[in-house]
Amino acid sequence: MFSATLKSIRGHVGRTVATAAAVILGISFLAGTLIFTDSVQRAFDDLFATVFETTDAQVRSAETIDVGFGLEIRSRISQSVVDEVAAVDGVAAVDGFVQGTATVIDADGEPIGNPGQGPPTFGFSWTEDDELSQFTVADGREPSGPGEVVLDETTAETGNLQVGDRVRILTSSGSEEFDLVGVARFGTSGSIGGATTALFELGEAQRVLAAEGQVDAIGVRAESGLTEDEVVARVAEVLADDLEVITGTEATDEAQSAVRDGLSFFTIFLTAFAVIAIFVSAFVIANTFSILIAQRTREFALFRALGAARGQILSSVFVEAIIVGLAGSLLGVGLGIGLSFGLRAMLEGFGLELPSGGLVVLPRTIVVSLVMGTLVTVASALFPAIRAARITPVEALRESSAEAWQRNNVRFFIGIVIVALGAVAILFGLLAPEIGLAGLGAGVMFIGVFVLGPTIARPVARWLGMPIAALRGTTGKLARENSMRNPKRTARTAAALTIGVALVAGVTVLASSLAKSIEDTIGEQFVGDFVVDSGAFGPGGGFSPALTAALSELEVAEVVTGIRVGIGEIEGDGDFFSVLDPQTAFEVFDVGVIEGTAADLTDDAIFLFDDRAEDLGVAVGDSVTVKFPDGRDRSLTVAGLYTEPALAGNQAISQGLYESTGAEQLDLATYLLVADGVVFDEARAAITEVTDQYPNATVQDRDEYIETQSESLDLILNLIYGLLGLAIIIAAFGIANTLRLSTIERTREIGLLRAVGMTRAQVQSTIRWEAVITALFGAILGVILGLFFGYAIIFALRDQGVSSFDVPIAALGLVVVLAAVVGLVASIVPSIRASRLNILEAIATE
Amino acid sequence: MTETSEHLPPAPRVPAGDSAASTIGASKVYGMGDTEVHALRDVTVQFETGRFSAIMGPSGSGKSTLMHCMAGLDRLTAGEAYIGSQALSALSDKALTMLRREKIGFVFQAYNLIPTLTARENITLPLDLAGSKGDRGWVDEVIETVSLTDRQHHRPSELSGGQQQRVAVARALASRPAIIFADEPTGNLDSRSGAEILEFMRRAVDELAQTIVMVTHDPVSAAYSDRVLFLNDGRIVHEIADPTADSVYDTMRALGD
Repeated sequence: MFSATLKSIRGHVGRTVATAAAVILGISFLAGTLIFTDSVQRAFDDLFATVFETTDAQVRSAETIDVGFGLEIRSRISQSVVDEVAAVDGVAAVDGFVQGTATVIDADGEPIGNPGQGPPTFGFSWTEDDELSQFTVADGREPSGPGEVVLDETTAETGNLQVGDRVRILTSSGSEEFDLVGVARFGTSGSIGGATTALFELGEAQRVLAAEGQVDAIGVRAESGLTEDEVVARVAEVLADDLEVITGTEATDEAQSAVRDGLSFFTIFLTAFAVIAIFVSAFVIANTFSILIAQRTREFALFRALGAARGQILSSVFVEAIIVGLAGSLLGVGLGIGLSFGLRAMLEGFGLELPSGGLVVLPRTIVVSLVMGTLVTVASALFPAIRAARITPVEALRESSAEAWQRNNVRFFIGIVIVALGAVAILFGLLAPEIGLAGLGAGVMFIGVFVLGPTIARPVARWLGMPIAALRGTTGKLARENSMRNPKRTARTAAALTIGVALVAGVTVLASSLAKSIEDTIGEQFVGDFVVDSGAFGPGGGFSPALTAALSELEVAEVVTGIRVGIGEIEGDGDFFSVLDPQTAFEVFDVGVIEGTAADLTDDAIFLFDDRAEDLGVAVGDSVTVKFPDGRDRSLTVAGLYTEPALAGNQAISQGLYESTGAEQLDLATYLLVADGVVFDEARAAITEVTDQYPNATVQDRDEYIETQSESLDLILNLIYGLLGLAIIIAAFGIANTLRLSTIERTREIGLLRAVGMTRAQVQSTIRWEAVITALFGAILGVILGLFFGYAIIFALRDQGVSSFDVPIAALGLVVVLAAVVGLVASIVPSIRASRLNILEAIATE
Repeated sequence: MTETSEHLPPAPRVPAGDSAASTIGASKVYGMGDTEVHALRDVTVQFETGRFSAIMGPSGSGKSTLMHCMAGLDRLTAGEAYIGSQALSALSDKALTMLRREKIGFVFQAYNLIPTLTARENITLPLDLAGSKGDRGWVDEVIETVSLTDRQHHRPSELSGGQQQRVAVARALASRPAIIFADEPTGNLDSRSGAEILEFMRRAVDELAQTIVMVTHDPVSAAYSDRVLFLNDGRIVHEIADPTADSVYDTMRALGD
């Protein structure tokens, strides 16, 4: 029996390759994701391993604020600690280190990098001690005083900046020009993983990064003969309680694990798409196996007649599945290596710079890929194999091997129940929120549609085929009849496409609804005329409040107010704080203040989103404990409540309060209300004149601003479309597979059609339109599911300020049209094959 | 549509007489070298318009190959086959397809119908493929002739074997082809259904002046024809006119010796 299986595989190489194609593609995505993230991780690990090589200890504040997403802010410490540490016996050298945000302007006057959608833009102090320094000068010299800067090599190249140039740099203290005195490398790399870095002499860094008399950390180099632990122990003795010291090795580990945390989101994100690809592959494999087994009914019946036991038939199918799965997975790992470069190119195309190093193919990657690929293939072949084993010898005598169709109300009912269960799981998963449960629910819904599909494929295909039959005449009619003759096959073939289309449609609906919500929210809550926007979304981006101050001087503007985002803990929870100028903010924003007035937001007060206040169990007049990056606990009085969190977030504080915490002050955007009687063009000209010094600030009127805010979703949306593309390609292979097998089954029929006068072009047209009907069936089910997914997510987010459910008819129509194109493309090879068959041999086929 | 004879290049040589189909020196060789099989050896034959001819011969005699090559389903190794005055070797696949669609009708032994189309749709299939409306009256008449008027909207799976084969004959007649090729048309039928089919074919020749060439191995079937050609080993070895079952049977026995 085993050798018969091998002969069967060898005898049908084309068929085996077609089945394996789905495994190969699905596994290549998984392997590609693992290889890519491992390679990036290794590159970062190597980078940071060299960076702290010569650092024996690091002194820093013990106070941190953690807001999640790998974003942790540590308090600064007094510069006087530097001298105390230097005085410790056994310390050879110390370095006070300052860091902040700095935007470098390139030779063309454009900002380099946007922290809102890419790597950070750093401003650092230069480390004097050569051995402690993480940077080494590659060209020019180190910065030695006021007005001098050194850039990392990559940024200098990107910005077309040479040593000797004047370079404009934006920091929280303003917009200034510096002499570029040198270019430096970070360890062995041109930059810190694609971030831009501007390096200043310590005193200058403290001035421009607003850290007078403070440092963020102190690097320590021990005298030779002293271990890291020994020097750490000695330094620890002189430190106050709110300070801590760690070894260089710990600093390396922390840096590496911080990157790992940052990448883990990324890995999970990509892995989710790999799982989708494999799930789609499983549908394609299951469908291919069931068609193959239907066609081999006679062969199996013959084996049975010759005395093969059921178990032998079963194991013969399994052995075939294992061989196809193993071979496909191996090829998938090979293709995954190529795909890992594709993923890198794709992400870099979306503006994400990644360090490059060697290709990392861990044994884990190969094992996981082989096990997954084989398991999925074998599991997908399970039901078809059981069906094969049930074949009785009598069935060999039956004329047709095609599965007969009959109305099946039980199947319809079961399908509906499974779909409903999946829908409930999604709703519960989203509301809990438990993303895993929601994902499982989506998978269950797809399986339900897989069960349901065959019972609805026939009427739907008839309906879909109507215009085609009317327009294409006989070939159209034949295409329609062919798509209806085996509804199970049509439905199962379409199912793979349904998954891809459902996810694309769901994401499209979600994005469209979010965009509309953003537009509605801003439209309702922002009542000003102009916005000067930095394009940043959170801490680590923005422009100096000096710009806002300059704009306030303008006579054309009646109200000017800058908005910052602060970081802090409220009752122990890390979160973002809206930082406002109470005197002006409420004149351009209507956030639904229900208690308190602008004047109540003093420097020891806080306004809360009313749901947040409820969660905290506080009311106006109560006090809450808040901690900012300076590490001090502050007791703030709840002085007001508001109902609209979309712009103001969970809590809002005054600028005066946040400035007193010593945190970096950057305005994300400044909002203006034009004075009465001023022509808008005039106002714009006046505003633009002021923002000239700040190339990262763009001037927009109200409508432009509303539009760009919703455009920010496009980037992530395109990335998701790109990643879902592979699932669609796998589905296309599934359609091609089915068509190929169906046309083989209909060889005689095609031969007869050719004999009585069907041209090759007409044969191709028939198969092409059959593919289009199948694809449309899958796409329409997908769009329906996608609408549900999108609606469910919007429903779950209704309390987070997502108020609108928008159905983008044009975009969904385009999705359906593209799905039909996928069907067309999938039909090319099978239709050409079918049209070239030899008429005489076809007619003679038994 | 008008994709008619403009695809057909002028014939190089015009065969003599009023023949619907003919061959001159037709040879067909399968394989090469040691495995060479001569299916047809220098066959020259004419099938006159308006006559019912039968081709007989043992398995491997070349009777099916001759029919396939004349019908444009296969190509000769040497010699020429004509439909009317049109030489087939000069035609592209597309032109051959057009020729089959417009000038030739087919009845095969089995699997003659498209299962997804109704009886009537099967009958008008060559017309539909050509995009022509055809002659509705004629189609109705043909359907009437084969007694399928009340079954014409049924699918093949709902028809008996004899009815299915009558649909096939009706399809061959519907486009008023220059010639109908029938390959063992009664081979899969019981004798009563078979006789019915043969009577229809006979009437098509007598009443509608249709030309039919039928391959068969059954003397009773051959007796319905006007003329029987006997093939053996790729050559025409004998011919009888106005055959009866007995005369065909006797000839077969004589040739078999």
